[in-house]
Amino acid sequence: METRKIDILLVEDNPDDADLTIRALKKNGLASSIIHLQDGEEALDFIFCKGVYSDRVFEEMPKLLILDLKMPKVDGIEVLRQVKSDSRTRAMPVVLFTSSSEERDITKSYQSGVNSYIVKPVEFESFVKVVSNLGLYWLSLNQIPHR
Amino acid sequence: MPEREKTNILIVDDKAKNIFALEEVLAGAGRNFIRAINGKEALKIVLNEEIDLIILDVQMPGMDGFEVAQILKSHKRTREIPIIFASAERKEHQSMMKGFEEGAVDYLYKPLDPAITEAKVSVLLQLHLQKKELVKKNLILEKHSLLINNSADLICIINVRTLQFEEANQAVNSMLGYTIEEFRNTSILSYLDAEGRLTVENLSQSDKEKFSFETRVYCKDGSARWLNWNVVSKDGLWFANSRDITDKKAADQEISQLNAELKENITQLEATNNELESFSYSVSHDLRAPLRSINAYARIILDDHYDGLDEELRRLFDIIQRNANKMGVLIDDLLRFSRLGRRKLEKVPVDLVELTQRALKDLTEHNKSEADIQIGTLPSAEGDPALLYQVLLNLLSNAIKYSAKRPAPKITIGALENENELIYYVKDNGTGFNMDYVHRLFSVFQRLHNGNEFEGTGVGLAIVQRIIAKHGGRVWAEGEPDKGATFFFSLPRPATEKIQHNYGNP
Repeated sequence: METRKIDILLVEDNPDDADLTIRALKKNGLASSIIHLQDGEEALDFIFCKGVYSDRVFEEMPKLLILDLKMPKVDGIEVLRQVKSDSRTRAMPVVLFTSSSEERDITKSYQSGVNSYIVKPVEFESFVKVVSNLGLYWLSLNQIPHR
Repeated sequence: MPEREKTNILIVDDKAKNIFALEEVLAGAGRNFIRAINGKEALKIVLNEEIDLIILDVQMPGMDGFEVAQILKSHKRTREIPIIFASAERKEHQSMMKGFEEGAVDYLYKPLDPAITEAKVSVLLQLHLQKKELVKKNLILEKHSLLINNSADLICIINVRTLQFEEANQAVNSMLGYTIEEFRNTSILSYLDAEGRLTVENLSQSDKEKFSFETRVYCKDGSARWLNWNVVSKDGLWFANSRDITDKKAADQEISQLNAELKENITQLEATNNELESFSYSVSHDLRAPLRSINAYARIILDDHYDGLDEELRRLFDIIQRNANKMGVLIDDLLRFSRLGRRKLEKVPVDLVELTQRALKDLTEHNKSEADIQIGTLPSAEGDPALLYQVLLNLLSNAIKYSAKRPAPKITIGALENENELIYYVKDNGTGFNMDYVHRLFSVFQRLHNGNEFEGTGVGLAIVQRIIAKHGGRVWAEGEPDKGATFFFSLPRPATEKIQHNYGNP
């Protein structure tokens, strides 16, 4: 398994949404180091170096975790919860990127320590704009502690 | 009848000196003497006065003593008055007395012996007064018995030791179908079910002086009635008043059944509500994703392969994209509408002028409006500010939208008041509408204008309606094609304050 240094970990079960997100990131030159995983379980394996990712170097954390909310097996909230309750991963910015604009999802996410909650727009131009903005903000503007 | 303090003694004699002599002999505390000098006068007095004893001279001119006595004895009202005949002729009385065996009658011989006279008078008086007292008591008893028998409640006396009925009123018949004779000396236990028997047996062991209980009681026809027994226990007897509460019991049962049904309905409603919620959640999440793909890939084709497409294909991809967008907006609006149903109102005092200004600012920030917009005096209300903001936003955005094509668009926001409610309105001079269709204005996805003319999904007014209904208010509208429309909404007057304003008509 490749363990090269990555900027973005995208966890998204819908291949079309993932494709569109990657496309939007590409347009802004942000897709050079992105990993796309299909569900929460795989994401947890990756982050905590378990299963097929047991050889990964733990310290090489992504700079940004983009999570879908509703996914098979382990959902986005659970991944978020585990990332935020481990002191080694707590500092990693997590953005929930979802179709749901339900108040309870937003509340639950913030209670679990999400850094941003972004609703996916249906309209493609807005979608591209939103993805670029979030990529630029978290990867270029935002400062996180150096390990 | 008020108690008389004195006893009235009537002395009838044609010779005044005889009367004086008698009065002297009988004078005493509590005695009042009335005189009559002949039979006629005596009868007159007896008719008008309450007389307790008559001393009647036998030999009188005109009507003699026996004749007077006969008349008195033949009238019901005077029959009971004791009479003492006074006569000088000792021998004649034996035969004459024959008609007077019954009732209190005695005989004195002249010349009168004072001691015998006093003795006879006092004995007869005492007897008479006691008899009167008895009659009075009987009358009271009779009244009570009437009361008791007239009662719809079963009133009875039960012997605690044997648990048998000693007495019961007529209600045993009207309520339970037994005669009093059938009921008397039977055990209360024989009329009860097992539970009732246990209750009564336990109570008969207790020494409570006052208690009540409910039992089913079997009637003669085999049916059962519910009775509520109120009992006072004294000297080994229960004095019980039992009310028929069968109807109340049935009503109680009906109520508890209704309650149970209500509870079930609520549970079902909650389940339905939860289903709806998860439905709208799924709609929110799952329906938007494919739309996004349709929209996005149509767009990507247009962007990335623009040169390879001819005019017609570009137009068709454009249509796909536009419709996917529209569907997205529809879903968002529908979700917003459905969320309103679940939202709890947070009522606080709200400044409607401030809300209106904010809504106008938010509306015209990106889309400049040419309209002349006037905000009148708006009374403060009580409500959920975020929701009322949404109401004003929707109404104002409609007013701006539908008046935009007029040469001089004009929008007025104002208020009216009546006793119970505050009424606000947004009036425009825009396209208006036909009043024939006014009932469709506030339904979801109902539009009176077509989408080419004015954009919109037809949810805005439905949202207004829902928010105002949640506040306990009403919405309505008036309009005329090409003349404009006025949308009204009312809010309950805040309970705490009375606002004194005069507002003009729209």
